[in-house]
Amino acid sequence: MKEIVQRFCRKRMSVVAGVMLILIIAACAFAPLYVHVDPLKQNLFNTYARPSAEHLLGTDNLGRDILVRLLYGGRSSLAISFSGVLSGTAVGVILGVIAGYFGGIADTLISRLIDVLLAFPGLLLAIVVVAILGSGESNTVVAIAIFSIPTVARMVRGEVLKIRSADYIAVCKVMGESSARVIVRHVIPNAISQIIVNVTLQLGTAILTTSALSFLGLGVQPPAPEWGAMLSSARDVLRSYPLPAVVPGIAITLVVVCFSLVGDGLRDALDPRLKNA
Amino acid sequence: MTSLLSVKNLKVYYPVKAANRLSSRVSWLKAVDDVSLEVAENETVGIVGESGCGKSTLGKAVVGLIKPTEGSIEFDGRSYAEMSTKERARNIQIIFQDPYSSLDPRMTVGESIEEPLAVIEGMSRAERRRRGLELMEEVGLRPDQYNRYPHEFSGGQRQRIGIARALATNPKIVVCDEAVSALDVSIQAQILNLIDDLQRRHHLSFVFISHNLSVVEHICDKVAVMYLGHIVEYGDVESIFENPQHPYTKALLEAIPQIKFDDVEPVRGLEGDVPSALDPPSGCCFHTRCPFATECCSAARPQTVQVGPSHWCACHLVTGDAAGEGTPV
Repeated sequence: MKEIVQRFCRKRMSVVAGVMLILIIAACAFAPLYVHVDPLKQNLFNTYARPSAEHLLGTDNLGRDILVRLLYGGRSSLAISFSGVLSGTAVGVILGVIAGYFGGIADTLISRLIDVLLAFPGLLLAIVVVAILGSGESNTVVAIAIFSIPTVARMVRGEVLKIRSADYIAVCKVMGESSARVIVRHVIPNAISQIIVNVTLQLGTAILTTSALSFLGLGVQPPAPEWGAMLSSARDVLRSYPLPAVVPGIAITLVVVCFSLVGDGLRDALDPRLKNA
Repeated sequence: MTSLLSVKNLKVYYPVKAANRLSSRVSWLKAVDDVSLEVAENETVGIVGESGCGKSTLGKAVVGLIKPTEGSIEFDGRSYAEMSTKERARNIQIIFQDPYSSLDPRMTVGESIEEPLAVIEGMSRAERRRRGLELMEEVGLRPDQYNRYPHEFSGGQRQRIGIARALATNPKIVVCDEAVSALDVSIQAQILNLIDDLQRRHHLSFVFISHNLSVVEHICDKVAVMYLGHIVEYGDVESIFENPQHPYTKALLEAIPQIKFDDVEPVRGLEGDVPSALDPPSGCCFHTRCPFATECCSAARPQTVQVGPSHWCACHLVTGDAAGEGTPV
């Protein structure tokens, strides 16, 4: 464990990205505790206000404070992405373990299902899900989850196939250890680092998808703040007053890049192939 | 000596799908074909042969990792079919070749060694820990290494951990599948001595699978020579090494590297490759490479005959002596 932290710290970019992510997530998550302005409060006499002491990042087309909306928007973007990716990963891990560990017909069925899901371009798949279920926060979570299932399941299946062929699994079988115990005690612990890396990398994609869905009006519905939705409502005045669009745009980019860098750093830190290098 | 483990007419065939997907014809890879073997208490039986001759498959069948296609394996007079997995696992354990793949990298040494105690015996944590430390001492590991992870150990030490785990439930028989092949020569000697030691202390029986004839000569009481899924010669280690009967055994023994400076004879060795186990030769499976093969060798499968007090051979050219002519094993 100490070794892993040390190796992670050697990658400066990943550390910076990690710190930044923690700050952004904390700022968004605890926003209601220290921001006492309603993100929905309109002031039609003060639209498109320049940044000032009162409104640090100015106001948008309905006179709402952009910074406050950014923080609250981050809350929903991040919450949707996290719950989507985590539930998708849970399902994906279960499917991947079943396919990889038991093989046979279960493997064939699950692998074909993964193929079908992967055949759709990611965002299109999410749009299809939302189109079927209807828009809204909880349906966006479902869309993100379904969107991340195939990648996780395929990765876990490959990992499990590798682990299953190791002699320590044969030793367990000699002892008559139950499959459930082998999976919980041996297979999952050996796959967990890959799963963690995958979750981190998926979170970046999930933020993008959440924002894209909201941008298209399929995710979080206005007036609720969300980064994609903020971009969408600001795009009409993009040429005359770009600030309301630029702010959420930068936020999305920053978070996605940070997740990606942290994922890379984690992968290098956890990769056993580099252990002796 | 009564036998503790007896393998009777064991056959392990693997189905192989035809290359042509449309035909449903399934051919069989005969990994182990009609093998019988007895292991007595406190005895080490070596199984030698080239890669792919079925020796590992035989070992895996003995520990129950592979279900035999035909034939039976009995432990202490009871067939595996009537024993529970736990009962079998308590008495028969295995040590694998690769000490890097046989230990879970995410488990501490203690956890690995104690796993059989938890799974098979259902012992409490405190009992397991006491027994675990006892086992570590027995195989020459220090108690302070209890909470270390496998990657902190060398190959030889890892193999000791594997041995400790195999001994956890006080088994009667331990199958060593190439247990020392992956180690340095000096470490091999240490592990072999440890195995010898443990045998003396616990009256263990070993099934020692190896392709290293010198190691087998050193550690085994009996040797079975396998070729293409058959046992071609079986007997006391002295009779096999001093007086080999089967042409294949002779060739194997000739191929052992010797340190000799005078009258160096070039090793004749065998020509050709091992035939495919998918389509084994007719008659005696060795006739395609046997320098002495005659017509009858390709026609009929040779009977196993007794050629010495405890020495059997399956070859048309070897006839049994007075001690037991033509006695099939």
